[in-house]
Amino acid sequence: MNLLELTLGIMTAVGGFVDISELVFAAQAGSSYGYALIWVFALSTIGIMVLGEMSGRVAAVAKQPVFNLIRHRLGLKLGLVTLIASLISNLITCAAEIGGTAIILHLLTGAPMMLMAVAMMVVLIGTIWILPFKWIERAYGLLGLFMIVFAVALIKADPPWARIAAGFVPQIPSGLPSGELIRFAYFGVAIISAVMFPYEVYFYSSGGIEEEWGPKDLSINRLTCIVGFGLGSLLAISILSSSAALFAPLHVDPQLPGSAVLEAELPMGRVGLLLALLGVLFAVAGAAIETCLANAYSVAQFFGWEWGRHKKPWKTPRFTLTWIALFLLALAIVLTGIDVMKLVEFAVLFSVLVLPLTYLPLLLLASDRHFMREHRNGALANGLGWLYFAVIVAAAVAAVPLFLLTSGGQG
Amino acid sequence: MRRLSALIGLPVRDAAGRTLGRLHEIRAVDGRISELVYGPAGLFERLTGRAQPTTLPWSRVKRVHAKAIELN
Amino acid sequence: MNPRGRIQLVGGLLDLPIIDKDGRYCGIVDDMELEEAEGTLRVKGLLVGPGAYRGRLPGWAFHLIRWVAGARMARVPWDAIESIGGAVVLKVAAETCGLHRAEDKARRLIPHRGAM
Repeated sequence: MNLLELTLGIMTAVGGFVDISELVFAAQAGSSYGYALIWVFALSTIGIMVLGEMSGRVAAVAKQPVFNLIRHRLGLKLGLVTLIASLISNLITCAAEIGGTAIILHLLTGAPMMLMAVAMMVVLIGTIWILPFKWIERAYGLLGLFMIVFAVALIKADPPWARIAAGFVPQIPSGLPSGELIRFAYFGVAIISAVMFPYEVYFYSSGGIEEEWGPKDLSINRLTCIVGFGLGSLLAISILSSSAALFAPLHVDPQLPGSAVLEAELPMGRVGLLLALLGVLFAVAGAAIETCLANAYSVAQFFGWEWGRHKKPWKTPRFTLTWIALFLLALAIVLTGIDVMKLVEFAVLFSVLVLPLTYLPLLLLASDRHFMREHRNGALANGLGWLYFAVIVAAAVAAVPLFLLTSGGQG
Repeated sequence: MRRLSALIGLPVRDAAGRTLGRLHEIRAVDGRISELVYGPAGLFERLTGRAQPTTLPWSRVKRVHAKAIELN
Repeated sequence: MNPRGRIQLVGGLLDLPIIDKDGRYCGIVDDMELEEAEGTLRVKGLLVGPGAYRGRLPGWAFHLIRWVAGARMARVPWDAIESIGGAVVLKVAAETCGLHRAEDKARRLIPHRGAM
C-alpha cells in the first residue's frame, strides 16, 4: 500500500466532505436543537462509509462504474427513470454549490454575487479542462482542509463536551411542541440526504475507475471511506456544535453560509473568519465539480460513451460537451436569481427521493457472485447495507410530507 | 428477423392455451437460444443475477408470434 | 466469458457496455437481432443506438428520444465479439461496426489544446 497515496486520499476525502447543504443544515440544526442531531450526522456517516466502500469495491473489482451496472441491472426503462431523477437532483445540487461559492466570493471581495457565479463557473470549467483527474480532486479536497478551522474554533469556544458526547446517542428532545417535533424530523431527513447525496457514490465509483483501481486497492478504498469520511463528518459535527454553543443561546438562526463562518470569527477573530471563508469556498467549489462530473459520468456511462478526465477532453468529446453543458445549465439556474438556500432545500429533497434508486442496484451488485467473485459483500456489509437501505426508503417516504408541513424547515 | 425486446415479456402459453407466465430470460449457447425462463422465477433471476434451474428448453416451443410464445 | 459458451441474453448481455479492441467505449447493447437457424433462434448481432430503443420504451418516450438524439442504430455481428463479462469486448475497432460516428462528430466541436 502506498502510504502517500493513502494519506492524500484520506485528506482529500476530509477536505471534500462538507458541502453547502451540510454546512447550512449543520449550522441550523445546532442553533435550533443544540446537540440533539449529532447522532443523525454520525449514523448517516456510517451509512455513506458502508455504501461508499461498496461503490469503490464494485469499481475496483468489476472494473465498471456504478451507472454502467445500474443500466445493466435495472434495464433501459427503470434505468432511464433513475438517470433522469439523478440528473435533476445533481443539477439542482450543482446550482446550489455554485450559488454557495458566489456568496462566499461576494463576502470575500464585495463583488456582485451573479458576477462571482459566472467567474466561478469559468474557473471550474478551466480546472476540469486543464488538470488531470487526480489533481482536480486533490486541489479542492486539500484546499478544503482550511475547514479544519471550524474544529479549532469549536475547541477555542470551550463548549460543553459532555453534552456534545451525549449528542451521539440517538434521541429526540423532550418537551417539543408537535410543530417543532415535525421540524426536528425534517432536519433528520435533510441531514441523512445531505450526508448521503447520490452524487458522492457516482463520483467516488467513477473516480476509482479514473484512477484505475484494482483488487489491490481495496484496502485504500476501505480506509479512505472509513477514516476520510469519518474525519470529514467530525468537521460537520464541529459546525453543528459551534452553532449550538454560540448561536443557540443568542437565538440566532444561521440561514446563510455567511452566518456559519461567523462560528470561526467569534472565537478566533479575522484570521478565523478568513480561513473559514477559504475552507468553505474550496470545499463547496469541489462539491460543484463533483456534482457536475457525477452527472456527466452518469450520462456517458448510461449511453456507453467514452468518458473520464484521465483522458484528454478531445478524446471523450460527448462527455466533455456534457459536463460543460451541465455547468452552463447550473449557472443558468443560479442566474435566475433564485435564493441559494431554496436551491439547497430542493437539492436535499430531490436527492433523498433518488437515494433508494441509487443504492438498491449498488447493494445487489456488491453481493453479485458473478461480478464480484470473492470480493462480494460479506454478512456485515450486507447487513449494514440493507439496514441503511431501509433507513433511506423511510427517509424518502417521509421527505415530501415533512418538507410541506414545515415549509422547507422554516416551521 | 426478430428482436430480443419483442420476445421479452411475451406470455408463454401451453398447448391448451393456458398462460404459464411471462418470458423474462433467455439462455443461449454459442449464440443459439437453448432455454427460456419465464414467470416469477425469471423475474427474480433478472433482478438478482442468480441462475435458477432450467424451466423450459427451446425444443418445447412450437411457435413464436407477436403476442405470445406457444408451446407444444 | 467466451461468446461460444452459455450465456443469459437479458441478465448477462443486454444493457452491457461495449468496448472495442482498442479499449474504447462505443455504446451499450440496446437490443439484439435474432434470426431463424436450424430449428431455433440465433443471435445474429447486437443493436446499438437510440434506434434500438423501439420496443423497449413506450411509444411517446421513444419518439421523444428520437427527436432529441436521432434514430441511428449500428449492428455488431455476433462474430465480432471477443468476450462477454462486465462489458462486451469486441475483436474489431468501433469504426468497423459504425459505432463511433457520433463521437467523431462531437470531437469536431472540442478544441485540441490546453489540457494536461
